[in-house]
Amino acid sequence: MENSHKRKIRGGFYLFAAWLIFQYLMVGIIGVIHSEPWPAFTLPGFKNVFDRGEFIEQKVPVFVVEGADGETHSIRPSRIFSDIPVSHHNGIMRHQFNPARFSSGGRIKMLTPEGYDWLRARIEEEAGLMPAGSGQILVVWSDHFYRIRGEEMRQVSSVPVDTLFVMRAVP
Amino acid sequence: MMRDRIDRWIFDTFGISAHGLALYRVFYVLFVLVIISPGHKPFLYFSVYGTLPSDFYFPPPGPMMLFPDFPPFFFLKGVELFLVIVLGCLLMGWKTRFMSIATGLLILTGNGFAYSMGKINHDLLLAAIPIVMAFSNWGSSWSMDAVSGKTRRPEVWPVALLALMLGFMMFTAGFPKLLGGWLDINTHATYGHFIKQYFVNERQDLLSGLFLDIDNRVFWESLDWATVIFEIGFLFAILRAPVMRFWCALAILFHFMVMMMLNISFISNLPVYSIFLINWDELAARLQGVGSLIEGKYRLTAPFVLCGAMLLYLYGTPLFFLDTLFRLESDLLALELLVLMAFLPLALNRIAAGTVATVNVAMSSWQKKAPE
Repeated sequence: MENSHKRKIRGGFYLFAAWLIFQYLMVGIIGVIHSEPWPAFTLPGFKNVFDRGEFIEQKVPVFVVEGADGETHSIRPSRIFSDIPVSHHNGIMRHQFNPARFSSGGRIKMLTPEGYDWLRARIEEEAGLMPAGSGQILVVWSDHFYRIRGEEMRQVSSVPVDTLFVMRAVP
Repeated sequence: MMRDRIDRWIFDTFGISAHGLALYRVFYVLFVLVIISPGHKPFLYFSVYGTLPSDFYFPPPGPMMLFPDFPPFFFLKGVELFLVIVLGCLLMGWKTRFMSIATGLLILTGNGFAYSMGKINHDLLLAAIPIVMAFSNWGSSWSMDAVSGKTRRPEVWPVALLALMLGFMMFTAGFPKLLGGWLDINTHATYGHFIKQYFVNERQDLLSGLFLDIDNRVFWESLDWATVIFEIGFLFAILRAPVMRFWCALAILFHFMVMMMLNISFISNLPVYSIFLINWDELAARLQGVGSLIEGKYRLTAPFVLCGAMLLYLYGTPLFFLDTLFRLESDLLALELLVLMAFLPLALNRIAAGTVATVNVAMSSWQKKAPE
């Protein structure tokens, strides 16, 4: 009885150990093709390294709308998604508003009327801006380059590199 | 022979008594209720995702793909509410195995939707602990189940399973670093991450300013090496309980230093470190009187426990109040700082004890080998 119990548990451990290795391989493969699977028994690797003296590059997205005043306004994603924990903001922008993901569709993200109205309402609530007329919402991605000078780091340039057009689908 | 060694590791290495398991159960529940505070930002906060339109539903590959959209707000509110009730029942040890599994599944359900917008947090062990420990019969003592005689014999293999999960996960954090060039002496990965967090993400609280003044390549490279050795070494540390205890103490020191330098906290692994770090049997022996006192009075205390859990759900943990007293510029919470600081003395004590024990073993081994 005791041995049978131990045998079952030991077998379970063997299977689970094999599963851990298999799922790690899957995370590596699917993570490259699509996005990181969940749930998985893995932790992030943060494998990037840094050479002293080089520029630090950061891709930064902003929502851009034309306000009722006719001026163009930039709004940080943290203001649009202020109800959602801060740690999620970069991931949301990278996966949902990344122009590269929409290249086949002409860099246009079509939102349902419900989704578009939600985004527009958030812009109005958080930034106090009313997208004018057509109500076009853009997401502009820029490469910000920083360089260290002593104990300061200066942003040496900001280059807009890509734009996503957020459009309202016709019901 | 190999099978015997595996059996010894699974069934004997992480021995813990029924009272020790019961105390760990109470610790886990209180940690989730009082520190993590379900239903409140930033941890187990699910209901907000029920207010989002379906356009933003971007499930990660896995079971969440079976769902077409975020569930309604009230469903996720219900998940938060049930989680708190179930945790209250787990604290009292009422239908412990069922409540343990329900706790894990409710956390997984809520997190599954929270991670369906493009960002995943790697706090899976917080949900895995109650599911795995359900099979340790951590409700066999100091519980309503024990009073009613509905208990099973305690098992220790679930603790070994948690060790395997933790060791493997830490290995997956270290292995890409090994491949990515962290050990190359010409690159400084920790320094690069620090600079990016300090200047680009403006995480400039606590000791980050002091680290900015350190312009020493040996120092920064040694941090790279220490990180890789620590993370990969975890997989080997699980083989022996004293080494695992030492490594979990190192893990707390590691998270504390990351918080001090990068202003990033990761407290969700603390419950799993704690099972190896703390001598639960010794602590349970000290608290024997308190446990026995409460054991006979569950009917009296149960309503208070559930009311307390509901108050925590409605208003959040009183520890959130710390943020109004001690405001940090980064998105770090004062609560996270306090929790890691509370664990630090114990971790340092274990590191010191482990180091002394290692030196003693090395010395006695050297003396035996030395010619007389």
